[in-house]
Amino acid sequence: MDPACEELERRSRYLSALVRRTKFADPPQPEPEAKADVEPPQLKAPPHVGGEGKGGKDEAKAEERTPMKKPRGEAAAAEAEGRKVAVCVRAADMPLPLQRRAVRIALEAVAAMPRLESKRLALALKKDFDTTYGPAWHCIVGTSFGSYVTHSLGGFLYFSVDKAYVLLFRTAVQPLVQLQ
Amino acid sequence: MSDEARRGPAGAAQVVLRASSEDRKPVGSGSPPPAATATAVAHKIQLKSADMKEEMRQEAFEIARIAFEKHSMEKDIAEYIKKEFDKNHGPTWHCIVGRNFGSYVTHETNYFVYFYIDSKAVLLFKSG
Repeated sequence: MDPACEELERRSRYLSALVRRTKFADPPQPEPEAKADVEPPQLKAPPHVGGEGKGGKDEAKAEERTPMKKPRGEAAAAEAEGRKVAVCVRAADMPLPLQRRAVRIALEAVAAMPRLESKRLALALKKDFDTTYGPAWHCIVGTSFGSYVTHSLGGFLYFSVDKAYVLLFRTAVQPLVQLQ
Repeated sequence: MSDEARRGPAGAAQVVLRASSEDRKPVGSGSPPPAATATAVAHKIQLKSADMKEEMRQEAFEIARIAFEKHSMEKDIAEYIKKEFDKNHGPTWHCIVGRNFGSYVTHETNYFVYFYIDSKAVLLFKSG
């Protein structure tokens, strides 16, 4: 019970910090409303994906449709170095360190691109998480998509970075049984 | 699109999975996709990439057509398709539907398909 409460408090503080950061970033337009239907993280077993933790599975779906007609941003906004990039975690069933890592990688990737490329960002995130936390991770990046996936316990994150939305989730990997 | 086979970490049990990625960007104008077999409401399907047997592929197209007729929200369409495949071919399937998204996923061999139905892309794969 105690570790679960601690985890909850840490998550709460982190999310508050993210919200404040988003406000300071001051996006030019109000953020489009995003629907994310995901079960709240199960507190019975605090998810810690250190090694090859499998655990149960939760189903999650994320839906986002951004209006196509949007006014152009500031000319200065094009500068990668000076660009303010807003980040907002929409739904998560993932330990905080992993969330932070995903957000950091996304921000670094966005800063490195003059224009956000969905596939490159998806690749960067998936490869890093496969390497760091073990297979198998999947990543979807885009401005307009809906999804319905099943993910491992503690392996789900849905957040927005700049104008795109990122879905990062993990599935259990089973060894092939060779019948010979 | 890249398609590579990678093996699990040393010491762990052998795992053979294939990684595929797809990128879907809005297209202002382009040649119309080839017309598929028409039903009452014709939905044109254009296969983009597949690691899936023909029979299962056709089933995916048919289920996608039904999903597009039953639902209008992308997440509901994705939900319908995924649940049908979980039911017919065993867990665990994942489905993404949308106009603009890039992806990078790991899927089991022979269980991956990526196609357009009308102007929307559908990504369906099995993993886990």
